[in-house]
Amino acid sequence: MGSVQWITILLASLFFIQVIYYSTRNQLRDKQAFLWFSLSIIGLLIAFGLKPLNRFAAMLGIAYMPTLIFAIAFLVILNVLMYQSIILSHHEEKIKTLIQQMALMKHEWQHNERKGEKHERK
Amino acid sequence: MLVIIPAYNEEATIRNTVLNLQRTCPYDYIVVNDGSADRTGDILDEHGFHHLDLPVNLGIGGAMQTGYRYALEHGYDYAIQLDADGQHDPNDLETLVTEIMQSGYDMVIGSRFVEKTNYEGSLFRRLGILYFCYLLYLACGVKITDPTSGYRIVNRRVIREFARDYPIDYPEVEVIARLAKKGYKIKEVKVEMNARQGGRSSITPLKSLYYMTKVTFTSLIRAMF
Repeated sequence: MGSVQWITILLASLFFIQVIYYSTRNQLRDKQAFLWFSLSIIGLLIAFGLKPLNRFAAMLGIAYMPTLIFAIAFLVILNVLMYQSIILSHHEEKIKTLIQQMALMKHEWQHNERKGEKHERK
Repeated sequence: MLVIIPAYNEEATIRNTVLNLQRTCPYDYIVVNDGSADRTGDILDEHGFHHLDLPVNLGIGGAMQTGYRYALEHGYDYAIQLDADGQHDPNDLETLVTEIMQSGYDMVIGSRFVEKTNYEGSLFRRLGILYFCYLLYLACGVKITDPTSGYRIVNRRVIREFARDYPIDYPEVEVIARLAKKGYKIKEVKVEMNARQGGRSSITPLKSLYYMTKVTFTSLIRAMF
């Protein structure tokens, strides 16, 4: 293994440890934790399998293998961002519904309270 | 019949708007205080005006949808949007009400351009409105002369639709595209609109650019899918 591969493995391992660390501290949860766990595993696999990747790139007619990795990584990151935006939109919608529900319930509660006060006065 | 008045930082106008409404029409109303940072909430409390308090600012769409949800939960057959800044003349309410009841349409929009009115908007604003007219005509096949007018009345079918889903910001044009796509019937009647009675418009030049682009994109999406 060359020094480039050692550095790649080191970086991929650090990323993997980072994901495990956040998952164990509950800062990454459920689907999000799984998503980043999967990506970190893919990172490790790429780091260990640079030779097969080189062959694969050559098969595709790509002379410089990192170009292939960057292209794939770019697409993966775009999709992850899209996924995060979808989740954000869902959360926005849920928060909006909760805020509206709160306002409607507060109004109902105040209305009933006023009715109760009137009833007591009678 | 429920009049929904979305209000965000309208301390200068909200009192007169509600008093005018109470003077001119017998319908129920609800002010939706959209997380105002000024004295709007205090004024509503002090005068005992019927209102809902959103704890944070949701934007005009979120506030309006709260009103529609209220209308749905309380069994109203019609809901009218009335701006809190005094631009909408409550004297025109009856025109909107009569039109929707007699015509059987799902939404009736109060328009400044369907007939000649005293409205004098800036050239830029008029061009923007004209652009949306053509956009709606080309995308949905509906002829609406004043698609940005917020002065509108809807029936219970549309109240149900809006209570379920309503755009958060700049909803006027997008909801027309959405309703047209779903086959709801929309028409316009002439109304007069006043200049803002106080407060400041939230639309800045930069926001106008975002507004035009965002509304074009969402309206096309709604019209196509």
